[in-house]
Amino acid sequence: MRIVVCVKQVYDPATVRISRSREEFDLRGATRITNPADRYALEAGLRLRDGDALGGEVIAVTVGDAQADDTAHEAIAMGADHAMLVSGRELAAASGRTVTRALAAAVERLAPVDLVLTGYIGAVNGTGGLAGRLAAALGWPVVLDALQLAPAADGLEALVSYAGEGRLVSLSGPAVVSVRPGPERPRYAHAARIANAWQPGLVETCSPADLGLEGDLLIGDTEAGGLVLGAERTRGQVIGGGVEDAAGAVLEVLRSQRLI
Amino acid sequence: MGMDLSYLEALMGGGSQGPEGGSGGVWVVSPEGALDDGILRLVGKARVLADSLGGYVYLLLAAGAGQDAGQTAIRAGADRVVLADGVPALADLVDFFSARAPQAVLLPYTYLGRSLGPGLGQRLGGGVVGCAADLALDPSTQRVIAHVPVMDNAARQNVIILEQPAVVVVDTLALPAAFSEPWRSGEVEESGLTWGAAPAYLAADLPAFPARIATAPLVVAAGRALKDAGFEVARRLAARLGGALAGDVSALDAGWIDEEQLVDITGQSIAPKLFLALGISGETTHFMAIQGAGTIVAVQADPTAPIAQVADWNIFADPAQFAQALLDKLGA
Repeated sequence: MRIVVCVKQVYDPATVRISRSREEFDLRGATRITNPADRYALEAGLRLRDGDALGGEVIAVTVGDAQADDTAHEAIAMGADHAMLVSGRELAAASGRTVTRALAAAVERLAPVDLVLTGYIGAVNGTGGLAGRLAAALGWPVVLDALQLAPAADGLEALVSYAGEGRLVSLSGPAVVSVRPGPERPRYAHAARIANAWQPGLVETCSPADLGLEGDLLIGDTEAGGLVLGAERTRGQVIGGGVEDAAGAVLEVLRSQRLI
Repeated sequence: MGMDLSYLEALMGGGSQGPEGGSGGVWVVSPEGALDDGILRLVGKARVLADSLGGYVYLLLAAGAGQDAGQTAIRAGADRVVLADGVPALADLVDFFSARAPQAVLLPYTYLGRSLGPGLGQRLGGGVVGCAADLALDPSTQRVIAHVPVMDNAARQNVIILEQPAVVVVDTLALPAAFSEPWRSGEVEESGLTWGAAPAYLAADLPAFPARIATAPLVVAAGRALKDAGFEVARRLAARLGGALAGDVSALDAGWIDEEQLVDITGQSIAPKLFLALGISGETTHFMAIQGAGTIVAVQADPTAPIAQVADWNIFADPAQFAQALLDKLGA
């Protein structure tokens, strides 16, 4: 079974600040990591490969700038067999449509692919639309929010979180599946694998043009603008009264803000 | 003497075509056929957009919804309700909209809406936003702007949709309440379209797994002032709220949590939507690790503690008693 896992390099949400004065993200000091949700997708792919008696391979594909190279190597350190990096200046801040096209072209180049896995959402400002778009571009079915994937008689079975309830979805042909963080935690890369992940030849780097993406095909469908900020956080408000009253008041606040 | 109304008509409805023409306009799709509060809110939002665009609002109601539902949607702002049988697959929607050239297609943030929306936009060559909390229109370019929740809903980002149709999956909970205006008129059309049955998935138990502090939207953090018995209450509170349990260095020293649950710059920095700090005084190294949190609620007895300066809500009380009271009110 040949599994492609889409991994993306994102800013670490814990290091991104919001500038109220400029109404935009403050990325000074922000570090980049592999999108946490994509690590779960990679873990799901690795488990399928490891449990496949006929063997198989997991190929991590990432679209981004030259720095996204780190994410490709990290995927190999976690256990991917090899990786593909689609990289170019045109892809800096690429829109969803361009990323979808690049990934679809990469999947076609890696054919025959049996399964494509993605994280369920990108950190910081993702909207979770990639799996549906990529499936449409490939002409494959899509399954969202898989918590676990297991081999079945004629393909795969996905345990899906469907409106908060569990559902079993059977897949018998190629499909795009988005993976939600589930019980299977992404594995740590151990030292030997990290060292080996940087051996030459494991990451194939190609430009958008290598995949046939040029000119109009790189025009985005959306453009990110500024931030809309709510009222500035009012710090230090005190909820008084006895413990019982305070608990009731806190519950009301949390419910009204839909925090619980 | 006849007046030339073509300009006015163009302004009102994109040419001389009425809503029955079905071209252009703002479409709302209810793939499950539900006409719940969320869909009605979405119809209301579509009405606001269509009024600015000078177009009509259409609602595609699948799964064999009846005429009554159509009338309800008209009162909520729809000009024309198109009824169909069955649940559409992506190819069905692509066929349906290819013939109609919509300006925008809005779907609810449900499993089916999320499955179909992004693919529909991709196939129609439009602009796609996979999750929006609100919509607006750029007054000069007439482009749809989606307000996308970012950083766990700490802010929203304007995303300008450059291509038509703008296909947006909208979290209807965040939209203004639906309106119902009895004077509105519109038409309900039986399209005669019959789509397939809804996919029948087998129900299954979701696996139980502990929430992890790095990804959990809700974190309950324990500190020394809770004492052993209070920590047990905090643990139950975290489980009841479906959140992750964390702690500061004092909780680690007390043996209540392990290193993976430590929130501190020497442990993990986290950015949950809600951070409930019980008995935590808020040393600098701890505060720096929770700066990204959406809302911080701090419960501890000392009004001069550092965390009192940074929390959104302070309760100066015994944290163990408070946690117990909160747990009681939650009915656990």
